[in-house]
Amino acid sequence: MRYSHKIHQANQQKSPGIQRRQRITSFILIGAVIIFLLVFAETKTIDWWEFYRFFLSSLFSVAVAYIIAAFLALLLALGATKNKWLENILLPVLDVAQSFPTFALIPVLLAIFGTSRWVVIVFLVVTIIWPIVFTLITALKGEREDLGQAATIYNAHGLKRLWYFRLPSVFPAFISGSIIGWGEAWEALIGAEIIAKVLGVGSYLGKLGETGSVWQLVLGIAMYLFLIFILNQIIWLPLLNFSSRYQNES
Amino acid sequence: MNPNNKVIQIRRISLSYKENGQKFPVLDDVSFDVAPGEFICIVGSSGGGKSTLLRILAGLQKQTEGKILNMPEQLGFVFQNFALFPWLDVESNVSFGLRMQGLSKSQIHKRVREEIDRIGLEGFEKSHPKELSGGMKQRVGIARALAIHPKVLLLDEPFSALDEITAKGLRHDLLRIHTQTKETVIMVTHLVEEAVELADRIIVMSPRPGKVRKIITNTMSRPRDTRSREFFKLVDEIEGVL
Ligand SMILES: Nc1ncnc2c1ncn2[C@@H]1O[C@H](COP(=O)(O)OP(=O)(O)O)[C@@H](O)[C@H]1O
Ligand SMILES: [Mg+2]
Repeated sequence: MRYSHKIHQANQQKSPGIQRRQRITSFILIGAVIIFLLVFAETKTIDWWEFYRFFLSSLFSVAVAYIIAAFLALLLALGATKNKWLENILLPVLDVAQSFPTFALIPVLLAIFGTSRWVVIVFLVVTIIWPIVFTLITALKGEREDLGQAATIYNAHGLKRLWYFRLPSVFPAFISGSIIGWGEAWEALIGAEIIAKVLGVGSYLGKLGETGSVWQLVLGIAMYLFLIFILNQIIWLPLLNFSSRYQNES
Repeated sequence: MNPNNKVIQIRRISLSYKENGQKFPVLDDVSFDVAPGEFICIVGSSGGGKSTLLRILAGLQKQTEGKILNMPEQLGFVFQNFALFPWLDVESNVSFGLRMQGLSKSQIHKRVREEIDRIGLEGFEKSHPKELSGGMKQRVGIARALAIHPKVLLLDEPFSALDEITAKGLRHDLLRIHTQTKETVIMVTHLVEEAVELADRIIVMSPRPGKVRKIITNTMSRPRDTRSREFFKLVDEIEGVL
């Protein structure tokens, strides 16, 4: 999804039929997952209920981090493109900030928060925020000038401009950036939980790697990927489809 | 026509861009008047500063020198490439200005109904810009402008992105509406025939920098026969100036 959502969007514009076929494929896959879950919940290779519990607490971290990151990203991107003056200050700062290696942040966060979920959440915020910020800035810079002029002519000023013009016009970019950020968060989560020694699905997989068999680890990772896939299907795919109607005609 | 409307006075407007310390004049000392209810066309070749002038009139851009007197606040603007909001359907595009002004739901509904019927968009209320042809898009652009009951309607080459048959239909509709409402119209075009067909007065501009060459009053009676001798004479006269 992280890399494929653009392809999905292009397909959809060419033929709406593809969308239906993809939905059917998704249903079949989700069905397969449910069967998989039921079967393996019975096998005692992994304590699946514990696995799901850890997955939920990690999902909570990702969700909280996503909400914070999305909000901050909107503020930063709107700020950095507000005028030339702010752009000249903020763009270089953002450029340096995004190249900072996020994992190096973990010892600092541990020093601040101790071993708590917040270490992982703050780390995830920093992971999620950049793809959103930069897709938003790219969209805002490439915005059609005449649309902004139309908004001005028809009295969209201040908060009204933000709500009725700015936000809807960046919505497709926001979803695109979110999908990338969300994907990177799940990838970075495992390492972060292991390093920070915070309980979650990531550190659980880490433990399986150390103490369990290879078979258990493979099963655990497969389940992890399947659950993320399902989340994409029920959250991001519909949002992506919805946002395509917000897009400019080319 | 509103008797309280005053003549709009455009006085000695100049504009230049600075690039690498060099000055690029785009408009030079442009002056003319616009009487209430008048249909004005500004003609000139492309790159001549016509869009810039219209943006200055609309307050979207600041002139370097000169001033504009008696320009009303309530303006409609029709864009060459429509500039419709892609996330809104036809109805919501048309009502955009009204919603920003904070009119009541029932007032908005009534006005949107009126404009959609008048410009011929019935049945397309729920369509999105993506799904419309160029001609229909520009109908939405015009309806959005008229919905706010503008004191002055500004149009920047509104038919240039359309094929000739579609453009012809829209020209007729614009003229019909202008005859009904008597709104003041200032329209930019690079087509001399279009100006002669529509305008009461034609401001002929020469490019680089944009200057007013000549102001021609068009006394032909309406509806105008675009194949008459008189029509071609006026077209020739303007092309001679250009
Ligand atoms: N931001 C800008 N910086 C420098 N030159 C500009 C800018 N915007 C427009 N121009 C120049 O101003 C001139 C007039 O442009 P425009 O008003 O669009 O002409 P027209 O509408 O008559 O075709 C053009 O030569 C264009 O290159
Ligand atoms: Mg132009």
